[in-house]
Amino acid sequence: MNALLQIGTEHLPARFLRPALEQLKENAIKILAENHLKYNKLETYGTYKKLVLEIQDLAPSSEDIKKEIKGPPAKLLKGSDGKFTQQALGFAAKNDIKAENLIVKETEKGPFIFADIKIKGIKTEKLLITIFPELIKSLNFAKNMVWEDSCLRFARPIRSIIALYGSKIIKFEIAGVKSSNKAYGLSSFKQTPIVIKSPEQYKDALKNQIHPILVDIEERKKALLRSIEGCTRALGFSADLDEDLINETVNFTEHPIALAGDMSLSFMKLPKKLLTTVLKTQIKMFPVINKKGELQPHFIAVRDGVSVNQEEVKTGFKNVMTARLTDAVFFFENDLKLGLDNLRKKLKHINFIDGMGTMEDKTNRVKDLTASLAKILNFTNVDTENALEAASYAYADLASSVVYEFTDLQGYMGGVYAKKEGRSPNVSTALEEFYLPLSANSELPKTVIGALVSLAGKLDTLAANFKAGQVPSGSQDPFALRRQAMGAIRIILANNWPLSINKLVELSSKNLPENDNNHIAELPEFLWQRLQNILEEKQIKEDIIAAVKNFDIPLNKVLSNAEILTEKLKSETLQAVAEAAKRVSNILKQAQQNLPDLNTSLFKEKEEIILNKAVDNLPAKINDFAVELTNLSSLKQPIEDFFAKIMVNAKEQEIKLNRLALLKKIKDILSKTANLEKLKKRGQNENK
Amino acid sequence: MVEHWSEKPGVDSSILSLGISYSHFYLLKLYNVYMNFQDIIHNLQVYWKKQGCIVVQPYDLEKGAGTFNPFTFFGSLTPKPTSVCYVEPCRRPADGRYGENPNRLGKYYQFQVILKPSPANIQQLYLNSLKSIGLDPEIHDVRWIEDDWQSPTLGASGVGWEIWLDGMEITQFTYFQIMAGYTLKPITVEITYGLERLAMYSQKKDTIFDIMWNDTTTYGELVKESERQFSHYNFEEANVTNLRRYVEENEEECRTLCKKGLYLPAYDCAMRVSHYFNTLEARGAISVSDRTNIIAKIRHLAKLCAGEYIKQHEEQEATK
Repeated sequence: MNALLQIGTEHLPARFLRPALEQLKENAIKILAENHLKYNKLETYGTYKKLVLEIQDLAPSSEDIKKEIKGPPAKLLKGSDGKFTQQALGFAAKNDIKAENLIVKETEKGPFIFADIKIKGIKTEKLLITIFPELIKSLNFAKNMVWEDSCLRFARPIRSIIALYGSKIIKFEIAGVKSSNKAYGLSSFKQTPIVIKSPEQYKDALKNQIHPILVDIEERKKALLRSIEGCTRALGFSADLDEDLINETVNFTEHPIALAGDMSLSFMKLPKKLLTTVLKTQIKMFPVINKKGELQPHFIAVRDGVSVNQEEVKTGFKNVMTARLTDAVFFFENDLKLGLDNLRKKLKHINFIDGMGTMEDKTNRVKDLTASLAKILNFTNVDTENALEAASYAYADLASSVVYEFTDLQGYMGGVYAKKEGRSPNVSTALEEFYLPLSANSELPKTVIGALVSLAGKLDTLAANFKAGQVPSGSQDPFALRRQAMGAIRIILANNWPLSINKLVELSSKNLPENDNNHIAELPEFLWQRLQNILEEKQIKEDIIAAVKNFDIPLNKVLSNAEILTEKLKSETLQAVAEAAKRVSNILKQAQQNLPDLNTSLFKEKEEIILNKAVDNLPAKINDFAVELTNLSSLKQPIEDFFAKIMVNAKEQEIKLNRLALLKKIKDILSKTANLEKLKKRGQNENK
Repeated sequence: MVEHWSEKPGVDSSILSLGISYSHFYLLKLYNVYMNFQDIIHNLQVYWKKQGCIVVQPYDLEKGAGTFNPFTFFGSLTPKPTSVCYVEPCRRPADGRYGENPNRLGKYYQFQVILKPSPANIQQLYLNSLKSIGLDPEIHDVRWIEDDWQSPTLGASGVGWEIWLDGMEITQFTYFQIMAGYTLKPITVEITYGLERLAMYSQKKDTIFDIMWNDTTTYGELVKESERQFSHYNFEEANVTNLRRYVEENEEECRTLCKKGLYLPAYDCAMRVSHYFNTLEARGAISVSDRTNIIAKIRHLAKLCAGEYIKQHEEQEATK
């Protein structure tokens, strides 16, 4: 027989539906297993008013369980008189079996008495009385509420419950609601009950109403797409089927029905993203586009289950849309009238973060930073000028009415205003790209000027937050600094800019106000963590990342060094040098910190002399990591010989310290190339 | 049928001379399709009166939202059952537009229903109330959009929806969870109708000013001058020094009165602080940190009043 649980609620937020259904499924699987209840198939589906669990072929009772219970030691089974002892009788009675049926089994601790017992399965209809309420209570939402005396926490009030096993109602009460076999139709209609005779009839019973309800999400989605397509085909266009809006719409309707309406041509002058943002986010309507993706003066709205009175409803939708778009036009034109220069002036009234000045101060810092970076990166005069112009307006749109209303359009609107003012396309594009990338893997600024200004903005945000003591920790990253740092690093790598972590921190922190909470010293490591993430994504091994860790060389060099080192480590010679480096490093760790200068006249053995000479003979650093690593191979033999023949801890203190000084010299020279001592020993097959 | 009337804002007297039009108009009114502003209020009052609500009159102090009304604020705090409804004028100084923008007002009207405990069929009761003002949910698109309300000034929050009728937001529907920092039990449900929106929809008007208040007078005729003058006052003339002083004086008085157990006049003071703060904000005299501070101050005052009320209520219960 099948079982059905339907939690009938008041309108759940659309975004809660999917997670709730997933939870309901997971928890049902778990609770049924715990109760030893077998079934064939289990699924969840629903609408914003109905969370449904359907279990197919649920066994009529839980399974019998066999259990072996350990009792007292075997010697206590029978007394010397051959009769069962008091202990044995007691144990048997406790487990409800006859003493004759007790058995003896060997265990690690010797023989013991055991009772083999069988727990009889319990009838499913009895189990469901507790399982169903337990399931309801197990659901957790992003936000919960209470509404009645028992203070059950749920996303929205529960108003009805269907609980069926076959045709039988599983009777219980939760949050003041008694379970029944009654479903209710569309929310705007008089709530006459629909009697559900058995679980398998549920879906069809709801579908066969005068106003059908589609309880299956996929079915609803298909109905929505079909309905939208019907509307747009009539118009000769298609809809901008934003995935988020589709899912949201599917989850705030029980039977989506689309209707198309017209939009005044005057709104077509709005920037595309502004118009679509108003439609999608404010009034949940689908924009209409032609084959080229250009917006058309129409809209698609969706109703819930009803298609009567279309004209009046359409007029209503249109009026609302007109009011919202008129607002948008008003804001947009106001902003245009003010212009970027006036908008920028307002920035002195907008605070950035406590202690780090206003957005005007931030703009000035970003401009300075842009100038310094442009110089280092050898930007042409024209590019530098464009970048500085973009930097000085980078935050101007934050003072605009449109961005105040629609925060997501920051950057984009700056670009629009710059274009309208006839500024160079380099500048307007840079403004548009200023906030890119929006997430860890999303697109970067495409233009080099956009990339530079965007980088400067991010670096200032990072440095200012660290200087003000706002360092992300654990899941706490309210200013999304990790994302910003990742963005900065991706921009630098993508443009192959020769900038090191220390350089970035130095440039971005020089103009910041003093602060008692200064944590700027943690910024280099924070940036390194992001670079490390990128290296890990490239499958670079952890020890190799540690070996090439360097805050003074350009980021892209770190990347190539990691790849080169991975490759070079296939050579056993370099592996041996690395092993030696580790040994050197370990010895020095034990030794005193202030070693005397190396004194060649104190060398006693030829191995010391040869090793020192080998170090001296290393070619000068030539900024070619691969060659440097190869050169280091020449140290392999001398170091190995040194360790084979020579006691570093010589009896004479003077000689001992001199040998340590030689090791120090080696360490210093090695670390100029890489932290080889961080490398783990390579196995036979590794790196081959 | 309905659109016919939207073309003619001043249907009234001319209709009386035209027999056919009059019966047309009469029919519309008979079926409650078209409704004057005052009739919407009246019908909501009649409807909720039938549901057992006390119909009380607006509270006579400036406030930014109906929730400030003492019936709502104090009414939600104790276990004592409540069913009241009332019209509440709301003042939002910063929203005024000199009577020039027909969809923005510095003062407008809400209709509030407060029910505690919240009845199980409350959503249906609400939908029926729409019918009572001529808006049949069965032929319109009624959508319940997640909107969890909170008021940082009252230290209050709740869970609920804004309700859209054919895309237009007409009602805020909230199950209060916390008021003045106190977790509530039992739960109060608050229904706040936007009366102007409802009237615009009912009468098919594009602007608030065109709403017919009764058969002869428009909303605009009644409020335009007041909007103009108050916008001047709120944006240009309000004396900032005085307002700051009022804020301080009322804050002090609120504290003093609370200590003396007079939580009702104390709460009046808290409401005044809130209104003067709103005026200061419209006047552009509030910085970001100012804002946070004053809001925290008002929240604290509200909590003092609430605490005093709860204490006295519990004492009374104990002596019963």
